[in-house]
Amino acid sequence: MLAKWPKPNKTSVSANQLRHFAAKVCQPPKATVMALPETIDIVVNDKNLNIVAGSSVTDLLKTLDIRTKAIAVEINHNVIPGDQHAATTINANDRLEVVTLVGGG
Amino acid sequence: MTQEKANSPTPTTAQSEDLPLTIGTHVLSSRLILGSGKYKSFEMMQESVAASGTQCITIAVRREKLYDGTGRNILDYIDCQRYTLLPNTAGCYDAATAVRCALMGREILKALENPGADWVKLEVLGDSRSLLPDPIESLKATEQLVKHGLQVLCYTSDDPIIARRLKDAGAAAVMPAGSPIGSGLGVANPNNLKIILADLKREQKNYPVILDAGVGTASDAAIAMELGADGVLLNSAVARAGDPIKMAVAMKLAVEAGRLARLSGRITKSRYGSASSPEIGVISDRE
Repeated sequence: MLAKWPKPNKTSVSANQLRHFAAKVCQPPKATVMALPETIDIVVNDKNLNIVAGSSVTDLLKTLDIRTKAIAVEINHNVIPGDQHAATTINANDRLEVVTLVGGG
Repeated sequence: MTQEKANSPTPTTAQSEDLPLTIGTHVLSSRLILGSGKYKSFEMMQESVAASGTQCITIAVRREKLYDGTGRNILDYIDCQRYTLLPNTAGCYDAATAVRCALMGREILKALENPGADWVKLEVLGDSRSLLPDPIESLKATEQLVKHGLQVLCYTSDDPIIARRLKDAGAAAVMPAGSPIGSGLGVANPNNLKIILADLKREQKNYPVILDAGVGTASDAAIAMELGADGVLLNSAVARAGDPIKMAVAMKLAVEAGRLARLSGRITKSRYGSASSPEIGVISDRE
């Protein structure tokens, strides 16, 4: 909360009052400083992405908001079976393909 | 015969006696396989597929559009309980990419619990203008995918030798092109198709040969069936027709008509005429 200005009906403000006010205003916020999570660079469908280190394939699909079941994921040219998405951790510089079905002949 | 009886569609003996189309472990009630691409809308695709009477729909594998989770998916318009999906490797130009594409298609269909998870329409193109297949890469990919346990339905040119090589490599079906994909030119070389059919079925009568690509209109599909093809796979001819739903019905009828004609045994061609009505007793003074 911001400190209150000295009351306006006072004709003068003492140096002490000003110091007191300045000390309150300039105090750093009391928010907890969190350490930023470590991130890694990967490539998904030819696009560069930066994700939280230690993410699994399932985590990535959540981050990308991909909800359809009709998805296949390949990491560095190896298909990851659907039942291994949760247990497969993505490493830095991995190249992924995330594909789905579209109309075709 | 009553009027009612005369108008009711009666399945012929030939139709009821015909075996269903069997490709590997898959048994299909219709000999028409329809593609799901190039329709003006998903709704149009859905209605055309239903009208065609097919049981099998081809579908392509493509990169997911990232950050677009709200977009409509074609699968919202395909009943995966009713249809067997046939994933393709369309757009691949080398064996390695086609194999990756096929294996990813398998994963998707497994997730959908669709019976099509164990087969693939292999398509490895050799030229982006003609869209004709690369026979060497197609053969390599067939060999690799067979090792991966997939039933491979291989799109190929109408060359009889490569068709035989694909069959020998373990393809579950060979699918020669009538003419380039989407060209609508029909069966450009009926003689090659006849040679392929005779050759691949010589020792295995029921080995499936499917005409894939080039069909422009109903008669093209009928011709392929009359020549002895086991089925027809088409997409553009329906999807790009003025009225896709009507054309889907036309294709269904054409495939059935061509099949029945094939089973019936056509008359031999003759240079001269042969009258259908008795030649004696004509009320004519003509000698």
